[in-house]
Amino acid sequence: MQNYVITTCSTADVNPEYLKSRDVEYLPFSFYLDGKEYKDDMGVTMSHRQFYDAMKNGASTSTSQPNVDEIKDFFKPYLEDGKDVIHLMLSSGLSGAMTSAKIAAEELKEEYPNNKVYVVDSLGASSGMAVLVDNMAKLRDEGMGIEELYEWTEENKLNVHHWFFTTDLTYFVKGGRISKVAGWFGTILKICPLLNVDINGKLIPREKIRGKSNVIKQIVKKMEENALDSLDYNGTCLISHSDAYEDAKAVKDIIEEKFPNLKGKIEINSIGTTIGSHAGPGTVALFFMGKKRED
Amino acid sequence: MDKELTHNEHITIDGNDYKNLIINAAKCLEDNKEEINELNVFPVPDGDTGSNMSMTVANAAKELLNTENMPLDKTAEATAKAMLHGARGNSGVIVSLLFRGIAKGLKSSFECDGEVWAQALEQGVEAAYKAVDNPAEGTILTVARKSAESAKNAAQENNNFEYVLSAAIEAAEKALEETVNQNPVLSKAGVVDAGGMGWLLVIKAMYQALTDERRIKYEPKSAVNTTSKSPFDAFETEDITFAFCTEFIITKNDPNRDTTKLKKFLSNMGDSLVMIDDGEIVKVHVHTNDPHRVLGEAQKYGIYETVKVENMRTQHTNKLVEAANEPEKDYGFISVCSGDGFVEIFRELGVDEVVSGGQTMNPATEDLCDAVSKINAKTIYILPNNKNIIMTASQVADITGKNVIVIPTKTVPQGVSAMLGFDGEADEGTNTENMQECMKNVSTMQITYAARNSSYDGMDIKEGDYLALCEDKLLFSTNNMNEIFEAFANKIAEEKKSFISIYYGENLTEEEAEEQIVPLREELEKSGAEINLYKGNQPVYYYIISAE
Repeated sequence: MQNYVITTCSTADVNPEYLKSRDVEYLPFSFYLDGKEYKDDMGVTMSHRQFYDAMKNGASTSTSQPNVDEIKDFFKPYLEDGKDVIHLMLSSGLSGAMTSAKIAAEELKEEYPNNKVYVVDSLGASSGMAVLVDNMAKLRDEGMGIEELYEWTEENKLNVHHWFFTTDLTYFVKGGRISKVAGWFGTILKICPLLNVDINGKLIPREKIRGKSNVIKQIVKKMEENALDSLDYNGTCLISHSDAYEDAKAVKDIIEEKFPNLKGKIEINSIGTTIGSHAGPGTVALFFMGKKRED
Repeated sequence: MDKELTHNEHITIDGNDYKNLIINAAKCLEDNKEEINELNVFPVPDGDTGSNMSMTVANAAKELLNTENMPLDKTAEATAKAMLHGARGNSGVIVSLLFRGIAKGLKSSFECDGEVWAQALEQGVEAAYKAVDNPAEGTILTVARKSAESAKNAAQENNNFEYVLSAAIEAAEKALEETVNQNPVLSKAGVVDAGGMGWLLVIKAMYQALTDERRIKYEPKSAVNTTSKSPFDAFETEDITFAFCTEFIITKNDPNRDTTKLKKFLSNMGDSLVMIDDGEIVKVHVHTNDPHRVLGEAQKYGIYETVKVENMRTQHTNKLVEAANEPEKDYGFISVCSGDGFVEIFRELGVDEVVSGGQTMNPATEDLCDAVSKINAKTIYILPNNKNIIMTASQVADITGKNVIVIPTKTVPQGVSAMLGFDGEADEGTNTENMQECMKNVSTMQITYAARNSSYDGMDIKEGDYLALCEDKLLFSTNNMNEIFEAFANKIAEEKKSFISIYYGENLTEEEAEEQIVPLREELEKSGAEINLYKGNQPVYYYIISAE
């Protein structure tokens, strides 16, 4: 048993039971639904179904990142326990939480000079963080030390690919996560923008695809082009969705058909309330390990 | 040419003569536009040549009616400018270019004799040819060129304006007759070129104005069937008595000072007066011809906080100022289309200004310039979405002096696809290239009706028949719409297109359209294509179909 803990955020969009089973703890973000604040406990208090139904009925949503003190409070029990901490944070391209986490870590180093606190800017989000966590937990269990794991994570984080599509970018724009640019909006025309997360951890609209069936094909094509060992890919592959299970399932089915090693191994997760506040219903995201992101 | 001249012969013409020539040309086109429209061999309800030319020249006539005793060069310049702004359709643009060249030829002239006129005509032809990408023979260009050539020869024989003009007419008549053999489409239909006919009418009318002793009366008529504003409506709104929109705010020297006198003064200085005095400040909005005096008087009441004076006659500048209140964007978009369904689609795609127009009504250059002036962007893309509007659109950059790029979309679906090819992060060159590329990836099929009986390209077409069009080519006509859907289904399958968008027109409900397209849907879904039905609400076309 290693003497350190791996932690991540409630934005890792994976089943909390799974995190527990991998001995990974999570830092909760907060969200507001029609002005009322809730703790993002990964769907336990408020189910994702409830949340998206409210959104579809026009509820206003926003999110709140943990502040320095909350982050310190989250780390402290482990440090008190004499453990070191390595934390995987939501992309600095999407949230200011990374800045707070850095300050928290600096302060904690002074308060607990004998403990190590590593904070990694994942430059990723949603189940993309879970892909990294999955690999980190594996390496930890194989005996890798925290320092080496920190280096590995820094070295490999840009190998996690995030591709996602939506039927409507309105929520992304409203939440300020992408800027409104001409030509990307066409709900009447059923335009499904295909986006990814870039080298700076920001969301970038990449391609405009007409119609859902075409965008489903195209997102799989992105995986064929970018996955390690192409069709022989044998690593973690996760899909997350916001109230769009059927579409997520369709993506999964095509991938399992094309990538023989992944048969039965692809997990579909629900996008949680924090990411979901900015994505809105109807987003499907695909995550896998590939060549290092280039732009 | 020996001709007995029974009237006062015009050896030269001056500005007043030129004005009369132009006004008569406008009148003549107005009277005969239907005849020219009839020559349109393409039976599609069309942005008709006669109407377009008529409206273009009328714009100049209307402008000249407002002038008196202007020198020749200024008159020619005003004519050219008004036509350029009012140009509609390709034929209208070409006519405006011919007159632009003529104006260049008449520069610094107070009088024009035969030789100067011949040179002017030559310059006109040169200007028109330069603007057309692939000048085809058997068109208005040929007619204008041959008539200018003949004028040049005639001028060497006799330097008499009237003589030279009549030679030009004679040559134009001959050239027009030949157009029927020069263009295969025309020869099949056995008609002459509509634009060429228009040009002949213009110069004939000019000759008539010289020789007819009766003073020709011309009353500008409102254009027919306008979906966008006609030049005459524009004229009325621009009939501005007080030119300067003057606005200012003054902080009063003395809060108790009565401003009734100022208000009275201002009301005598112009119209549209709005004045608010809240004790501390006075806010004024007034239209006047003498902003200097207005400001001088108002200054007696206090200190200026802000002053804004705009010349409303230079309408474009005015609008620019409004647009300038918003920060400059990198890119702006103008799309030409009709049908509120399409308008909504383009708006959603990020188009800033939708100019009403299309097949039934080609917008004037001015309409597009107006749209440009409303957008504050470094680069403005225009999507003409009709082959008869591309040339009009390409004049806009010159007139507005802005960085305007025309993506030569010939159909509305091409415009939609071009818009989808745009990427806000990319540079201008890349975007232009991508938009042009995307536009090419779409096939457009359209269903409309025959506006008249016609024989086109060997097909006998009955008025009211359904017409199947592919891009801008007529495939066939039929009285059974299912035949068209069948043909389209085959074509789509052949081209292996997989994403089909069907936009239904204004006379159909969604249910009717859904029912009508069943055969097409069934056929296409066999090959796994995705079919979507949208409300285009366009006039004239029952269906506009795009396949990608």
